[in-house]
Amino acid sequence: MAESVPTRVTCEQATALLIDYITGELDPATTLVLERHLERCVDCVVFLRTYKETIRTTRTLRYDDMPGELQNRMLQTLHAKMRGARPQ
Amino acid sequence: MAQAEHTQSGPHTEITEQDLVQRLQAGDAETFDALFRQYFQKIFRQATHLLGNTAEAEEVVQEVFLAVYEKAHTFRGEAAFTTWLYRLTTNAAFSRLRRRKRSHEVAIEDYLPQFQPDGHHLVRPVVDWSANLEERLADAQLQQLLRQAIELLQPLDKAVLVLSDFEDLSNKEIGEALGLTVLAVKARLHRARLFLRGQLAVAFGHSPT
Repeated sequence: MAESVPTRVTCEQATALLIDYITGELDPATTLVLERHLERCVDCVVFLRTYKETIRTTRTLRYDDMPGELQNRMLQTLHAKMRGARPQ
Repeated sequence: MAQAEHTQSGPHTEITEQDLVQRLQAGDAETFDALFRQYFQKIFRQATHLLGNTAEAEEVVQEVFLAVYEKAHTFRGEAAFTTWLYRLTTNAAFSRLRRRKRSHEVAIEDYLPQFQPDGHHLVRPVVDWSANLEERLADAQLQQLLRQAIELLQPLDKAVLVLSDFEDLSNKEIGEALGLTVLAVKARLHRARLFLRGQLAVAFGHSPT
């Protein structure tokens, strides 16, 4: 028997649903319940906005690529090590 | 069988990831070099995110590719080759993280949202600081803050976050690489994101809740 979807959620329950909500993975019935909550709850709307912005900002974080010179040096080192190491 | 990635080697020849692995298993040095050039930057990036510094990440890259050479015959193709690489990278990075002495422990829960017994946010109103974030997106200080916050995550939570938000892997692929169920991946990813959100909220002078 299918689990029934509650008609209302609290802010705590709404927060737990955000990970699936932002990727569209929530089922339609739960999405509707969450969106009804968001229509009434400014705190959760703000929470959702800051949650999404956190993810967006995290995704912009970049480290420098490995310099080309180092790549070649590493490949040479690996070749030397491979000559000394037989596959197990 | 995992879906093979295709590599163009010429105008009419398509070499699958599986073909490359078979050549590697046969000890073909040129294939090893081709795989190195194709994947080292990805491995380097993942290791840097996990370890927080490039010096150790370079060591991990070397360790991973040596393991690829030595253990190529153990790759059975149940998962994608890249998933296997991610697993090798995570394991190599984790063994370094385990050896580190943690200078200070941060209570992750202090940066997660808190709720009242009736389920409402503990501190209300929840303040919208997203505009501050937008303005400071390129700010080096903000980037440093986020890097430090990622450093504070538990290793497995960090690995899930890195593979999801930096490497764009699906939750299923992350689960395969780290030996977790999809549900466990989501739980760890959500907690990691909530923690980073909490760290940013505090940095902007607000409650994480």
